[in-house]
Amino acid sequence: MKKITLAFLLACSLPVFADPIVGYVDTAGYEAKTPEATLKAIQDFFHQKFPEVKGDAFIDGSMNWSEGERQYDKFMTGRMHDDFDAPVGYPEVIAEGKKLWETPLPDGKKMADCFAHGGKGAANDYPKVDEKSGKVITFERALNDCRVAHGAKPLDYGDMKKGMGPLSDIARKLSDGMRIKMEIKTPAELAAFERGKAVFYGRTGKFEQACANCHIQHAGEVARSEELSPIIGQAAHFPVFRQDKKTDGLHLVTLQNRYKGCQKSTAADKPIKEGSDESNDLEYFHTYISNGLPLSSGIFRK
Amino acid sequence: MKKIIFLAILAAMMLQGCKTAGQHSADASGEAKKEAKLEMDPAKLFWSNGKGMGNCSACHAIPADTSGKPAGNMGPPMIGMKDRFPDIAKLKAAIADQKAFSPNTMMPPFGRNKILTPEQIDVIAQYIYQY
Repeated sequence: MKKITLAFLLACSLPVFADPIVGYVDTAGYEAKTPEATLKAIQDFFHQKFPEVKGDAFIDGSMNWSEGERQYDKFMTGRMHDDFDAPVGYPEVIAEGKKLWETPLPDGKKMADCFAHGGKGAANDYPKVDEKSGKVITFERALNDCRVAHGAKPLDYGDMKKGMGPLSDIARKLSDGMRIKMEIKTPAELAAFERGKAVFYGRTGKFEQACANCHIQHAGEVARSEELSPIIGQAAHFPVFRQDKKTDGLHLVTLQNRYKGCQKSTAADKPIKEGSDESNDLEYFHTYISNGLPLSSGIFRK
Repeated sequence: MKKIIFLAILAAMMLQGCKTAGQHSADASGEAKKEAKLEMDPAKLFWSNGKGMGNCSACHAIPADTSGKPAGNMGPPMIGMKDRFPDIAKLKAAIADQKAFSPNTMMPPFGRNKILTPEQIDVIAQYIYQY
């Protein structure tokens, strides 16, 4: 009886990490068989949809066609640089990130010691796949591995004030301007790409919507009052600062924190979590689709 | 061996039981809350976002409504509805589960996934049918 009770309790407390996928959206890239063909199909789709948007311009997302979005970003970027107002939240987060990057870890080593060239360009070596486990290792995971290897506690991937958010922002800044150069060759890498692709095209939550609905199929259209950006270029410019409607200040959002936000807005019961396998797989696929584009961290985005 | 199989079956049954029990209690409390403030004003259902609302304007505009409320353009605008849907039942069916008609749509299955009640879908259909 004890065993049964135990099994019952265990079964009820099994964690569910994300809403299940309940079908796929067959839009550009879905039916392509390889990473290269997927990327090409998505690029072709957007070159046809936005013939005026070329090359690096894709990192500017909807600002390419919306004057309103351009103005909004211009004013808010001005605020970030203290043109006319000291924004709430933003300086504290930058200071926290610098502290996390520069303060020596318990054994005396610094974060910069964990990476070649003191961390310059390090973010561009990720996400990558660990051949042994087949799991995707993000740059944020590498930052946490570094902390743990030198005696510190890992940071919470979902903490945008005192956790991984601020550290990621500062550490990624050292790779600004470098171009994404992902190659997907080994079976483990191909498998990770396919898993991430399934998350992107997979319908989930009560609304049964997929990332691909908004960011391929309907990119360039308007959801209520928001312009939808194309998938190409998105992964190249995170973390971002966004306007905090409560404080009228700015708050930091990492790429994976944004995934969670997207799923919250589309009524997922259990939005995808920062640092989870699903989120890491999605980041792997997502980053590949921005191949060749330059990285930038800590910029303002609506 | 028999005992183990018996235990396994029992455990499986209980697991199913606790799943449905969990769902039931969640549904029951959800429904209780919904019943307490089930929105039946079609304009509110159409224009408002968030739980218990239709979120329609996130994707559909009503060009004849000049009040200036923000509306998306991901779905077709609400115009000429009587011509497009001579049979209002078809309009209701589309709100309930548009995927049945268009497999790649991003329109949520409001009826099938119980996001809205059949009564709410009725009043929304009547509301947009005037445009």
